[in-house]
Amino acid sequence: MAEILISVTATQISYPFSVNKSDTNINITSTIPSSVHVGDSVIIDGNTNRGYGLPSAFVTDSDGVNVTDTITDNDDGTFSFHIVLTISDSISNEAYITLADSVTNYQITTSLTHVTASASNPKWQAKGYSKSYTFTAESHYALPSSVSASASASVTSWNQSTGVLVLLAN
Amino acid sequence: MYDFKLNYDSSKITITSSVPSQVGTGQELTITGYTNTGYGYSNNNFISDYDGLDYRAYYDNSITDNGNGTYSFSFTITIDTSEEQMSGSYPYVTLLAPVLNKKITYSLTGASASSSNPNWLLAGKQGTFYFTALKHHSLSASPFVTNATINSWDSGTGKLIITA
Repeated sequence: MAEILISVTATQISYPFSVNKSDTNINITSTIPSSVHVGDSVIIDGNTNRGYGLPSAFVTDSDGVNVTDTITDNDDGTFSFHIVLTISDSISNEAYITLADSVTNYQITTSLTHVTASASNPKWQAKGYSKSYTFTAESHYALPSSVSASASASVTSWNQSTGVLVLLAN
Repeated sequence: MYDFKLNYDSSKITITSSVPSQVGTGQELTITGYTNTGYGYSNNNFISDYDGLDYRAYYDNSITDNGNGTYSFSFTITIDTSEEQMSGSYPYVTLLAPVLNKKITYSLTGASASSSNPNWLLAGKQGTFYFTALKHHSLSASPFVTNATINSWDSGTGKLIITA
């Protein structure tokens, strides 16, 4: 029996892709594709320059993508980020994400009298984040009833008996 | 009474009516049958030769595309053994050989074919087919067709016209 074979191919549409970022203190270390297809996964890795952190809401806008992002405070003055994008079936004309600007990352210094700071205390704290610090009075000394922080941070709580201080960086 | 012959290619045609081996002048015969799968007729003219029939030769002829690769047909003849109508020694009818009826198959990538597309196409005939790109796909600049010729292709509408 004679047959006619009709072969028809449709190729996936390529959509333009971009990462919108204006802050030069944020570095992208992975390669960003200029175009994507529905179903593609795009990984965007990067970090901040020393002295800069990332806000918890780092990806502020997006279109045509499903976003999963992970931010890591390296406690060395830098933050790292790992963003996994999946190009969505709902894409219309383009896919993009917009990244927030960095925030100040403060180096922690202490002024202690007859008090020692825990070696595991954070060394850096970025604006908008809360962190806990632990202090211990020297032998035959008692911790003070209150502590103070510079204008860059505010004391959220201080426990004189445990020596646990919670700071919010401003 | 005269011997009667119905000539046809049995590899391509099946006769379902009873065909008498002998006929008499004035006798009317209705012959029915169908083409075997993969063969068909493109019009109602499916008699290639005859002798001993009246001037109308045949009438009430009909043909139906069964849509499954076969065509059913029927026609009626009247035996006329007069000298004007019969040059040989016996009446006969020879059926035209049917043409190839080609089955349509697809190889589709990122596209779908319309369910209303023809399933079969007679050799020499033109057929129109429609295709749709899947979501987030676009139809290619040119399809590929075997055992047929592409007459036109519109990648914007997905309309393909071919001749078998």
